[in-house]
Amino acid sequence: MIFNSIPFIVFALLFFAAWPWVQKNNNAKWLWICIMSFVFYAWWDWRFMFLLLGTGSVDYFCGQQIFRSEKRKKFWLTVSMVTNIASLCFFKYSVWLIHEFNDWMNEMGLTTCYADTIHEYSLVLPIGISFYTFNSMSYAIDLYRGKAEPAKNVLHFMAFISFFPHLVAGPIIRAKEVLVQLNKSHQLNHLQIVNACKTILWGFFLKMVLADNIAIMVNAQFDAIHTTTDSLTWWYCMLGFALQIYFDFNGYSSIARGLAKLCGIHFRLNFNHPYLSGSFSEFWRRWHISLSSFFKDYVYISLGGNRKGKFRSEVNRWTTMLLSGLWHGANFTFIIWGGLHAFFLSIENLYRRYFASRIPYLTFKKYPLIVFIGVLVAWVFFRANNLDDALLVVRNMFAFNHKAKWMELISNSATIWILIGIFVELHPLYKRFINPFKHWILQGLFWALIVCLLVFFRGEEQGFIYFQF
Amino acid sequence: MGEFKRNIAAKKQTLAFLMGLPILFVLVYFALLKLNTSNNMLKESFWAHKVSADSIYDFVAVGDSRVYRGIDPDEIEAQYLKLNGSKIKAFNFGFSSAGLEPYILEKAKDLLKHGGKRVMLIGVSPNSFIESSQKNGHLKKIESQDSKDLWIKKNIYPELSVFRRYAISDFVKYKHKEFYLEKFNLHSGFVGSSKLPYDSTAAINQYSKQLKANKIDTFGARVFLEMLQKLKSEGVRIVAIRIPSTIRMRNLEDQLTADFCNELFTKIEAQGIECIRVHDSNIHSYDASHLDEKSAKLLSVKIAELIFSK
Repeated sequence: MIFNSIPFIVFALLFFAAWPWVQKNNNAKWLWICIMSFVFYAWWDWRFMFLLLGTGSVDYFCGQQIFRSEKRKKFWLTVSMVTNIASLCFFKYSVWLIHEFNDWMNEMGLTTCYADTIHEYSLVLPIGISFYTFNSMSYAIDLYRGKAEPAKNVLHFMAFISFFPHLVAGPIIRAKEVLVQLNKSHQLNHLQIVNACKTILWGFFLKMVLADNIAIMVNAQFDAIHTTTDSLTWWYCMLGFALQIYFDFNGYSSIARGLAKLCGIHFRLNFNHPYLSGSFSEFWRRWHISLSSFFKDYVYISLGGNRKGKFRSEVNRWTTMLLSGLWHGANFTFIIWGGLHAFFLSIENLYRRYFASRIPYLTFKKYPLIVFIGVLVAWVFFRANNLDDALLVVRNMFAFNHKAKWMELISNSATIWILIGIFVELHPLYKRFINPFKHWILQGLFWALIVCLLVFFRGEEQGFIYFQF
Repeated sequence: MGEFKRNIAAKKQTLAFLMGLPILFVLVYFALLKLNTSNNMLKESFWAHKVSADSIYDFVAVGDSRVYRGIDPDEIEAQYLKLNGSKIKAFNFGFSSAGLEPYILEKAKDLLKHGGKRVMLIGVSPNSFIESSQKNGHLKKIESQDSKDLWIKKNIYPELSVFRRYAISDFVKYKHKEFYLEKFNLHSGFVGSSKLPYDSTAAINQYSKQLKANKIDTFGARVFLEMLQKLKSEGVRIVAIRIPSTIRMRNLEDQLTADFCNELFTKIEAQGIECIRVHDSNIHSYDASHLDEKSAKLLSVKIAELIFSK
């Protein structure tokens, strides 16, 4: 079930209609979350519900063992890690690896047919597997590190893992933050309900109006990738994609945060105007914050972070970014995307270390445009279907051959949504000076306008980009 | 601002929202109505209806967009009633860029009721035999949708069609006084189409490019002829027709495909299968390829006369 669908509206109405009564009884609350979250997940394919149940049960059991035993802590953590990573590898990477191996063998002149032996189940990527696997892993690691309390029972743990707002596309949540909140009963006042509804509406607006309308232009451009070599067209297209993916995912995160708010649960902010970042490191503190902090806490710091010397720190950064790229998808393009960001971060780091003091006026912080261009180029690898397509687009972008007419380019329907998108993203820069919606009547009308835009100007229905991860 | 004051402000905001929303909604709704564009929700429902139709028909028309814009089953039914005094049920099973290959023909056959008239009208065009069409991408894409989604599109979307979406390009078209109207007949599978301004050459370039870029699948044509024999042996009355387009379009198609269509019709007739030809000066195409609604209705009446008056 996806948020921007009729079944979800019915589902959410049903869930929240019962919520005020259900949450008064502790057991009923946990059971209600579990049942409804499993319905939410099973709507897509009921068979994969057992995968969620299976890996969840193993993690719960391992968590209990980690908490209880002093001597075998590491063993149980390993069991949990291996289970999660194995299921992720099987469903997400096995097909890709087998095909790559096949191609490699064929290039060497050896005919193999391993690809034919792939089980049909592994051809389907269970929706949200990367997200709930990471949620599960964070639980086991936090218990091992003594940073979290174990869930009281399996029902509590399953409710935490499967809680529908974050289940299929994050944000990646931490057991220590959410389990405590779920344990409490929350009576929301009018202000909190209004704020939660606004967050949900805003999320829908970002996704259905901005992202989906911009997507039409971007998809058309990538579908006919060989038809134009015009540099400006490709820069325009990538600007569109940068905004599309941002509003798509930020939209999802906002809806998830709003839904959680209605249950009295606070999820941390997942995006904080990333395109205003003055440096690449700042970009990663503002973009997909829950994933960035996951990789920082559980991979980068676990590898030693910057505590083991300059060279090792660089190696750790590259490892983390490449893994982050691989997490997004089983394709070399995603690994290159991660690698490009690692490269940008290394350059920035080297610059800070050796040149920033000598040429102070050339600090990265002053040049968000440079960061944005770097991010834009990296997005090419994220969006392209394969490496050849990505390289073609990058070549076209930097060929600086301008053939298209300016007016033709900007008369595209997407332009108006791109401009609104830029206006939305730049909000922190002008909000102090321009705030036309301060009065309550204007505020109310503003949200009524958002609803009208949602109804009449939503783009063609499209799934969320991050569902594929 | 304290919590109490913010709560009060939130309540006022909600009030403004609840009072403003219906007014704004009605204003926007009526302002957008004048754009006069096709309803996308009905369109999706239309295709969902098409792929989930039941086996209850006496007459099924199959082919590409020329068929679903050119044959009106309601007119066929009405004309049959006029000619024979009894009722039949007719359905249009046309899809965009449909290829006439066994998959779609079997699907069309399955819609015919056992014990009924079992008439299948096949709209033959060169485009139905180019390699890309033979994959029947449009039909298969709709069929591959989740069954729950299809059910919602079929049953819920028509009720919610007032919440149709608009695009920025609709305003541009309105400004240039360009209208492309499509009336989706959910129960019959026919799309009544019309376009303003009329441009009887609009599709020439596109068809020219398409036919130059794609070869005619001669193997597909052989399979098609075998399939006709098979359907005939199964008790289906097959009637083939080349849906009228403009003379220029017809000449272009014949020229670029080395008279493929005429040769195919000769072979079809040699198999003892009926082929009908309709020429009427009142039948017009709005873009060189597709018929406008009025012409489609006229063509359907003529087809019914030719098939059922015998």
